[in-house]
Amino acid sequence: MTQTELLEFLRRDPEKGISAVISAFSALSQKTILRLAGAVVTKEDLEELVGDVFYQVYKDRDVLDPEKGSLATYVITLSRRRAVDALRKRGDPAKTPLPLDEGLLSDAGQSPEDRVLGEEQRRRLVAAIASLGPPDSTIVYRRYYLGETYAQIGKRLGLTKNAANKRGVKALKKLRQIMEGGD
Amino acid sequence: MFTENKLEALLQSLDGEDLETLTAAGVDVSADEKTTRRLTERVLRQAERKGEVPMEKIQNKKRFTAILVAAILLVLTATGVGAARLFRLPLDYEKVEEQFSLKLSDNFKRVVREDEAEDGDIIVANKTVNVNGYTVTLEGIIQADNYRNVTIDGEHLEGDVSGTYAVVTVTRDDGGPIWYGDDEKSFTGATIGAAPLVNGYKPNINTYGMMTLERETGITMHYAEENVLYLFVDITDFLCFADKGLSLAVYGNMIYTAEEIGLDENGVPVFTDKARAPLAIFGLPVDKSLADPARQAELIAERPFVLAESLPYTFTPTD
Repeated sequence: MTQTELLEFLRRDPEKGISAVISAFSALSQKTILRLAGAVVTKEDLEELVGDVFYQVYKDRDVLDPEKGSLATYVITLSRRRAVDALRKRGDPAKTPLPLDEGLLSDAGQSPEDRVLGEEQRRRLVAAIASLGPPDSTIVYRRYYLGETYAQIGKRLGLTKNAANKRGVKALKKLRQIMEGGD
Repeated sequence: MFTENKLEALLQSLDGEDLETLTAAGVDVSADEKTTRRLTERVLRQAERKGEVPMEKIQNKKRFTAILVAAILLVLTATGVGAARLFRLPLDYEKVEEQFSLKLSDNFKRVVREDEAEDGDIIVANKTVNVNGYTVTLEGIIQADNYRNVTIDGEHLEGDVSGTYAVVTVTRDDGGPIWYGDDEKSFTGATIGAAPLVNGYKPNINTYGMMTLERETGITMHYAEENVLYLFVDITDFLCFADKGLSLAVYGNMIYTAEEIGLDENGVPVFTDKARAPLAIFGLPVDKSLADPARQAELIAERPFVLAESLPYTFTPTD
């Protein structure tokens, strides 16, 4: 289901639709919040913040315009805002200075050139991961983006921990070849 | 040098477009069922508190929100006693079709066991097991065509796809809700799942090893209504193993580990004493003439890891 279809589903049947949206994007939301405000949020805070993000999606379902941005981008934006809120409320300003603009959070400390290069590399990497095909692409995503253990990944995919690990190592090698210009 | 750290660093700033690319390529980005269920409840409660969803509606919908659920529309042209069994399933087909963007044709292919042949497109198994306060029934096997655009457990189904499904129903003997419960250690708090197995092989050869790699559609679809849980289990890619015998394990977990299912002296899958929540293992009544040894060899050759994980075992499958 594409993100546009997911949004249509959410509009058509909000209760089931929000479950689908949560299933698809809650890991993304969690990761975004943790990356920005991981130092100040507890596990309970995190669940509350992620819940707030999806409540907002649920509420805004009829006004979201897929032409203006994907559902995932909206989830990321909301997650960043919740993370900043958390930093403001819970952070110690001496230890966790607040960013001036949450839009810059992901690129903090980078020059515009670095940012463009980083973005280009990321796009190449995403394409390379996609080219691995399942289950290797899933293993790489869950291991290196979500930070799951090989045991967790194996359980999800019906593989042993060792099998998941082996595939992950091979996939990483393949990714390295692609990213460094080989095949 | 492209290191793991570099990989992690680049992935940290994934955006919506990246996610779309990854999901379109079949990457499973979904959250686990428990998290999805918990967050969905939280959002709906919040919406209810703000007066956006009537409480009654939440109660009625609760059983649906554990995971992304779906069901398939069954168009039964069959006649006879056997067919009546599936006709009685209380699915609101039109509603299901509308809700899940499903479109099924009435073109069903027969997949029947020779000695149970009926006029129609289903095999009625009607095997019931009572276990641990649950009644688990293998209703039968159906063939469905043309379902599309559904995401289930993070897997995207798109396009016209035909599939063969084992249909299982599960109810609680006390008449209680089948989908939710407060005690997570009980079956009521767990997801009830099912997986097809090839007799004689370790269970690793099942869902992931074969179905998701081959079809990306080989998944179990759940649907709960009136305290009855319906499982539609895709067995399409298992049919080529029909000569080995096929079984269907139903259990009270999202997924089991290989140690939870073993083989008896005849190579038939059985739950071991390590099984955390065993319910039933049914033999699937499929026609052995559907076996395709060349396809079997091809599937296993394409998946050396499946072979490594699946064989050898204490039982050697025989033709």
